[in-house]
Amino acid sequence: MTGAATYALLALPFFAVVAVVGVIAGVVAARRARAAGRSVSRGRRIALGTGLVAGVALLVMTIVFDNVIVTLRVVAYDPSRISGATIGAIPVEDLAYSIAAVVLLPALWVLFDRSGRRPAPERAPVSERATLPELPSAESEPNP
Amino acid sequence: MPGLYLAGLLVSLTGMAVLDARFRLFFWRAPWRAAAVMAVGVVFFMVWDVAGVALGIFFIGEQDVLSGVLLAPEVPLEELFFLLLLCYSTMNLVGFARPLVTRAVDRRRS
Repeated sequence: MTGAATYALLALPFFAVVAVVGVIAGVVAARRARAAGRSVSRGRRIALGTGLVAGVALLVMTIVFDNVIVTLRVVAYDPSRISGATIGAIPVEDLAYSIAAVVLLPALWVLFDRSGRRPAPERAPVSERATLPELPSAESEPNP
Repeated sequence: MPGLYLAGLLVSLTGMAVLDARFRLFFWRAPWRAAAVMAVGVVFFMVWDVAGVALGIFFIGEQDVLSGVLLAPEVPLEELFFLLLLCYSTMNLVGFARPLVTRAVDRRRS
């Protein structure tokens, strides 16, 4: 695989994995919220809002950090395999890592939550729709 | 100066740990759960890195700030710490933003 789209296309399979994990975490979070009698839409709004706020901050930090390491030439790119669109010294494709991180990692955080293990809740209705990952809110988690 | 980048990454990771401890964001909230998120995250991004190197997209440049230790061809030791920093920064940001967003959402709903 060569060509200017190589770096961008490389992100696709990884984005696919991230999307699947994100949707599963959303379903799990919604099911838990229902079982606990909490509002699903509130949880979804908190999760999306948190991802947006953290995501913007992470992108800004990534742009600064990557510009430093590319300028120091810790990492270099084959110009024939990147789109050529840059932000300062970095190819825009670099931002795919941060976008993946801000969805994948909070989704794993939800999936690895074993704190609220109760007897298995009733099966959720079939009509249940996929939602984005709910990040556990401060009050939904017992303090350590 | 060889090792400069690694030193910078370690300083940054220490800073993340200080913020985490101060505000109870990630490891200080649920240590094992945080460790599992970090482990899966680092492996995921390392696979991405190795694929990028294999496709010839990126490689180590003409620099003098790396330690010289390689984990794989074109994958310096520092990349492991970079990915740890990426994952830790992400989850600290998420941990910091969540209560603020929660308050904002609840204000609007009430």
